[in-house]
Amino acid sequence: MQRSEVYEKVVKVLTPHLDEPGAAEKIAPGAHIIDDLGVNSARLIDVVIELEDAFGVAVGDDELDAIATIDDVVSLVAAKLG
Amino acid sequence: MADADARRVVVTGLGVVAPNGVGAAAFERALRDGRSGVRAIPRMAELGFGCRVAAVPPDVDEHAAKEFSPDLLRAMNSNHRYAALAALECWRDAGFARPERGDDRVDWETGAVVGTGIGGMDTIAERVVPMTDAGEVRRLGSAVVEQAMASGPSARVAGLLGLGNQVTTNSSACATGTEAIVLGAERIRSGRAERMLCGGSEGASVHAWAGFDSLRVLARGWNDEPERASRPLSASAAGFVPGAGAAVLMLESLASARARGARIHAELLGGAANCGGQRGGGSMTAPNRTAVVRCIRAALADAAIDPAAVSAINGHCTATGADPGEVRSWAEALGCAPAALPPLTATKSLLGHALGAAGAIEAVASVRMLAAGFLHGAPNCEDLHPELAPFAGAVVHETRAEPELRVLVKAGFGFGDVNACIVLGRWNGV
Repeated sequence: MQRSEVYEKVVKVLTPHLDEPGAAEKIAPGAHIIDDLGVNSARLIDVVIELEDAFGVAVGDDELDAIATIDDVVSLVAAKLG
Repeated sequence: MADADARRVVVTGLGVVAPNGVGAAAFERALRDGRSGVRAIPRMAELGFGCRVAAVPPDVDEHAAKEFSPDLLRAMNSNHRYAALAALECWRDAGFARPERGDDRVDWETGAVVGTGIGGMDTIAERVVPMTDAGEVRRLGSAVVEQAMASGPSARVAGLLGLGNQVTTNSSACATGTEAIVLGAERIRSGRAERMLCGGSEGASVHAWAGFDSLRVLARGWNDEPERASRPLSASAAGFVPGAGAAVLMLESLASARARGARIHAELLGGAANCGGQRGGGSMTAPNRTAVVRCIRAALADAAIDPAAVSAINGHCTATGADPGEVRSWAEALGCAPAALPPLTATKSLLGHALGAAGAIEAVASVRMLAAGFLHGAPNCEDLHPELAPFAGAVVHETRAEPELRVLVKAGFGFGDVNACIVLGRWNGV
């Protein structure tokens, strides 16, 4: 899967979790999921579960802790997809 | 005068999600019309329950979708939805606006006691247990704890409204909703809060009801006629109908209510709570009658109301074998002959038994009856229990106007031999 395809799919999984008004407009590769997009740190766990299902990958606890931006997610998933 | 006002407690808001009506207006219409919230529940039949009917508020998900974002709804089981909807309605009814997203202010003077009897059983039974046992702990997600924990409903309400005073979930089985009001009033009287959202909530879950079915305390034999199944006070009563829902009442110091020009529904004149120690004939599932009488008398004393001044009663009346004993206890507590027992309303005849929410939903019914001057009829007791014959004149079968209602006493007597009783007074502006 191309990186751009991964990005689109990650955004698709992430978008329903964006509760704050105006958050959707801030989506960008470098956007910080918690600080910029307002996703609650606890809810990030749910996002990751959905990403695991969407891409058929498993995300380890250390990998989860290292996620900060959308780019981080895309890189992680792309690496797992090979 | 201001000090005296600060010690008086009034009801300035009502919110209810009831099996026969969502919202206070719909609920009151259903009470007046004698409309039941009991219906057949196919899942109970599939699972082999003896009782296959229950009382569950209708269309709640539609109401919830209008008020809460999809992300929030993901973390709200039925208990949360009922509690949150009832609290929101109560808040608005009290004249407050729902805080906007991003409003970071905390209302330090307002707290909540929103109780529950069982708790987040649907979450526990449908997610926690099967997924944990299947080794899928990682996949439970972030919202399971807040939905499973007993304090979930009160915490949810607090977050929606920015409450900063004490926020807690009480639990005293069937007395929960009434006890919440007693606790909230005490906090206001002590000067520790100006307003308390008080009530109870109970989710809809066959797993919550299963234990009662096994205990053989649920109504059987009426599965083909759901609306006739909840039969408090009747000769053919054979158990209660399980129910779900929520109600929240805003209790407020009179001083605060006056200062902001709040509309007052009724006055909370007094209340009491006690336990029978599971002695004196009491058990985990049956009341110590001496304690019941003491509780009612203590509530009246706390309210400084003479028993002779009681205009009407809203009973616990669940349709178990305890009903006749309860009615005798009321007469004993009020010191009146059977023929002189004040009118007795049995709201569970229309709502089933909403467990932790029951006392609160029935308190809302009591406030509305008092404020609007009517008593709702209880269907399903045309065949009055023979032991209640001496009290027949008190049983309200049909809805009727009662413009002279002044004092209404409401009580709940719960599993565990725990009791709570409140005394409501009609608000006359003084």
